[in-house]
Amino acid sequence: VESRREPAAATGWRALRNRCSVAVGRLFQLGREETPGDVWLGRLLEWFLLSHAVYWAWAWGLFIAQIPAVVVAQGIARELDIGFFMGGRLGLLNAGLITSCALAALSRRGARLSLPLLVLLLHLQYVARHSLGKVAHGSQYVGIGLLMLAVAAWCMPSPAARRRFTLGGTLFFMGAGYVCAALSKLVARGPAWADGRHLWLWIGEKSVDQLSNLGQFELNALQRLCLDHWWLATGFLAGGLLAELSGFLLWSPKTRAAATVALIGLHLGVYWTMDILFDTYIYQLVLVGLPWPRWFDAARGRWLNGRRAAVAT
Amino acid sequence: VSKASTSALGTPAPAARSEARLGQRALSCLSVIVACHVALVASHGGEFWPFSMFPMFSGAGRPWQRALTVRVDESLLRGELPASYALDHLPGEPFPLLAHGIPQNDLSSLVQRAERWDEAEQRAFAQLFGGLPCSALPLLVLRVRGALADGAVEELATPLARLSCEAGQLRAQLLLQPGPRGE
Repeated sequence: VESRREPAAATGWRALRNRCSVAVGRLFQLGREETPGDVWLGRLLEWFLLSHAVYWAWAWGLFIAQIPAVVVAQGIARELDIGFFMGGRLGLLNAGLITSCALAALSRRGARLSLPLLVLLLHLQYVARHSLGKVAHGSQYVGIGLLMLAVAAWCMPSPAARRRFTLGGTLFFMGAGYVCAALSKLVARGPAWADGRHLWLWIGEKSVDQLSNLGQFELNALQRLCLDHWWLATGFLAGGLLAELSGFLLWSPKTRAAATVALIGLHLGVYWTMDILFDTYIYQLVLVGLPWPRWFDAARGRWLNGRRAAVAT
Repeated sequence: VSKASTSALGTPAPAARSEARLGQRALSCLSVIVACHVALVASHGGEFWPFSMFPMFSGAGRPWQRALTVRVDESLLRGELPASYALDHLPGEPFPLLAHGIPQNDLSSLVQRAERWDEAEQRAFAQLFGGLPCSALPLLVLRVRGALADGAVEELATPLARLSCEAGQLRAQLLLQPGPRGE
């Protein structure tokens, strides 16, 4: 008896689509029964994403009040004139709306409306805050997670599927983002991107930033070592580039934890050599990249067994 | 027909059917999001929050420009300023922006385009320092350029603007003549 048969009608484009659907289903583990650990992680991720959205909404709103006009239009500001939004209290009003949307989503009241609205309002807040020209990338992955929450609220039929889609989609775009970052570097400079002298130049740049921010600066031991040894600086850049290239390994549960550790190492390396801390990326990687549900379920199982044993005796 | 037999004949079990159905739905959603991502990023210069090409650090080896603010004597601002300073011979003490809530990244972003400033950019520049008390002034804003030369990093600071207090108000005087806008 044949254990598996491919449907005869599925050929060409349809077959490819079927295969991709199965791959996505397996990747996101959409058919697997949800454990208490999965539920706990899904709720924690939701809190993480929404609390960051509220924090940035207010931080950006306060800064928007100080900006007199749009200097460099980004995002939706290229199509819409958001000059009316600048220099006043509209940024703070928007922060209040974003907070209301987040609270509505957390309380499960009107999540289908409040989550897409939250993403749109936070986009407006972002482009207004960064309208002086500096493009900051620290909030992108939280934004992707919020978008996945919003899409899951509309497209997924059950709370379990929504949690799986949010986690899987966030991991998918985080992995793609790291690979994209590596490819941007390789397209711009080729393998010579990893030349250690480039790190020297960035250390110089960040030293000026530190001098400007704090009024003083001092190189740390790792920066001094990198400036003294070209091969070490080159090794750091090459290691970082390889870690970014391995970002797609976040997609598979089998390789996810290893890729997460490599990417956290990349961010810590960037912090120690260039004094740039992508702290939210690190927290998000820790949250979505490590097998917390498995650890949680194992610990819970041990605790329950212990209690049963205590009751029996 | 039992579930087990249908499974043996090649029909997927309920759990697998459910996974495939959800997988199809997830694939459709992901495809739409990826299409939006590509279209928005391509039409908006590589950035459309939360979508991005993540181009940071791709311009390795290219010269950079950053802002640096120093606190100076009144007498220095009255006279002619040198064209540039070495970082170890600045005309005053570096002024700590962080303690005064002035974002270095935004200031540097403005400073990089100083030759092409229009009225909005000049107002934004003055506004960044607008909360400073007169006791913190006068200040000299420098533009530091860094570049690789003969395998070493060379850094040179050029005076960009002086900030002084006049009748209790901050006065920003640009030392560069804005040129024509555009690339």
